[in-house]
Amino acid sequence: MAEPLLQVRNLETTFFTPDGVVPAVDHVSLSVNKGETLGLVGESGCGKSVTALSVMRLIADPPGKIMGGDILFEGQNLLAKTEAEMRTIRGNRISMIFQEPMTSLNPVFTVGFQITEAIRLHQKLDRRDALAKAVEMLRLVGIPLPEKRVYEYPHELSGGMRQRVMIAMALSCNPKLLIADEPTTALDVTIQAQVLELMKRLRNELGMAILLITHDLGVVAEMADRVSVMYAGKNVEEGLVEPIFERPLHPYTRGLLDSIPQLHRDQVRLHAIDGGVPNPSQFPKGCRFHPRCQFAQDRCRAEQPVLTEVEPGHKVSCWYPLVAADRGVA
Amino acid sequence: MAKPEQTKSSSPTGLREVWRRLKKNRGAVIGLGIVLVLTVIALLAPYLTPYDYKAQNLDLRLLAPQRGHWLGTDDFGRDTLSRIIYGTRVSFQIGLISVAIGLVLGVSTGLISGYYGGVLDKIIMGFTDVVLAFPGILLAIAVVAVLGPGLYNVMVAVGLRSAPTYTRLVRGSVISLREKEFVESSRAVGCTNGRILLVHILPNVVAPVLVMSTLQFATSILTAAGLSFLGLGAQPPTPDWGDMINRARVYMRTAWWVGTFPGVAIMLSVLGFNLFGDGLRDALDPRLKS
Repeated sequence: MAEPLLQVRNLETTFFTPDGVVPAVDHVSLSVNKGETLGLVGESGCGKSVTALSVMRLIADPPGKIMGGDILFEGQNLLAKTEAEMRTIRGNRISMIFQEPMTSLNPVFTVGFQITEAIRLHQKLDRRDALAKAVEMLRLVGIPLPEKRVYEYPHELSGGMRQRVMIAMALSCNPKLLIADEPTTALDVTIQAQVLELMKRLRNELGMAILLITHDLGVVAEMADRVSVMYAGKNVEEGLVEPIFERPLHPYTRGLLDSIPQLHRDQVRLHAIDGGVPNPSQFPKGCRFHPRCQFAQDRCRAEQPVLTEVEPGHKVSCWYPLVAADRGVA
Repeated sequence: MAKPEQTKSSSPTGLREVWRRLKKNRGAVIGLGIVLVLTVIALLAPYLTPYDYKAQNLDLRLLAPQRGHWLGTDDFGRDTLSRIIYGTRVSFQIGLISVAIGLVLGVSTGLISGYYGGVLDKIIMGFTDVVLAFPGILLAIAVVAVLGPGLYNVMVAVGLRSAPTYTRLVRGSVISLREKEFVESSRAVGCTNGRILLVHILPNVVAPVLVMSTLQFATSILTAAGLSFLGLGAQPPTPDWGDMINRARVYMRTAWWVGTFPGVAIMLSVLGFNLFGDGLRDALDPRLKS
């Protein structure tokens, strides 16, 4: 279980825009073990998706560029691969599903065509066998009447169905790693639950690892084994789900947890973290969270903390990790 | 399980819907009617002509429309109706070939320009700007002047001049399609750039290109007729409408029918294609029409 499948070390992805140099991902490290689900959590614009796209080497260059770090997948450095080598990995060893099921499918092709394309790019199957495989995949993701649905166009399917098609497409080559970039954000709550349930089932059946990108801590609690919290292009906390939810060490993580509405308690106002995410082209000096942190001290304003292991398997990047007293009853 | 061949064919909902909208548009139906009639005439020209289009009979010069010569005869005593019927063939040939030239050149440069961007895009766009800066007919005249007069050179000239319009149209669509998530997801599946361009992006620009081609067909016929009128296009005895009008100029006052009927033919075909093209545009993209 503890065998690492994907290891990202000190990844730096920078965008060179007319408005300045934007270090969207700054020395981010994370690892996903075989068969494990890692939740990558953070606000919009904190660099979650850029991290995922960097792993796939799908950062548009220009304006983006991976400036440094290593991305080890099954022991091989993906950053050293040629574009042609990457193409044999994408969709085959590592697959990705995107946030918007409405626009992630090509409107002019049947879903069958789009799934068979993924299959035929990586497996030596003829059209007929690939289509049979597509039907099988649609059945696996719980689409009724798959023999009929393969001939339908994306506009004939509902959002939840389309996300299922995307999952079928992503899993058609038995990837070792599935990167799911906010897979349920665009879906209704009931459909969300179904899709998450489906992903969980498939992960157990197919034994793949999932890198789950989301800003929804509920989804993480539901799905993930471990969590990595990102803020302003940096890791701030990483560890197993339970310790992080119960004893967050970083004030930001705690703020995120506190902003979840508690249904079993009377709450007049929702808790919010004051301020907004800083503009990436001018991050504050020192700890990037300090302007919004109620515990900030002089050292936080001057020096950038590094990710250190505080408890076994629980890492945090904070000069003054929260102790029980700070956490209070929350 | 049904046969895999069905994967790509039969988009019943899409095509049927377009046809339904097209049928409701009276202009489009009239346009389509004209286009179809002209197509049949062009295809069956040898069977429809009452006389040989190049048979001269100096005894029958400049006959007014009458029994036997429904549209009269020209200064060599050739039957105008027969020449117009054959002229349809020539015009369609011009339309088809020059549209094909413009289409291939324009769509390919537009795809490359829009998808890759950067220096390539700047070069291609600079070039199209230069071409578009010339008045159309002037550019065509210049091309014919270099290549020499003749029907095929006219087709090349008209095709070259229509290419930049396609380039711009396709480039614009590709730029917006490039950012679509399905393009990113096809990349995430492991498609090459070429495959993304040809399999995923190209089919999405077919609709505007189709509309454009229909309208361009009319423009091509008109431009080619203009060049022939100036003596740069079809050479005698090819029965080209523009050339017929040119020869009829002298008799405008004495024998109006010699030039009028080829003119009507040009007008009808241009009108037909334009009406059809406009209708097609509305039918393919109902959002454009309020």
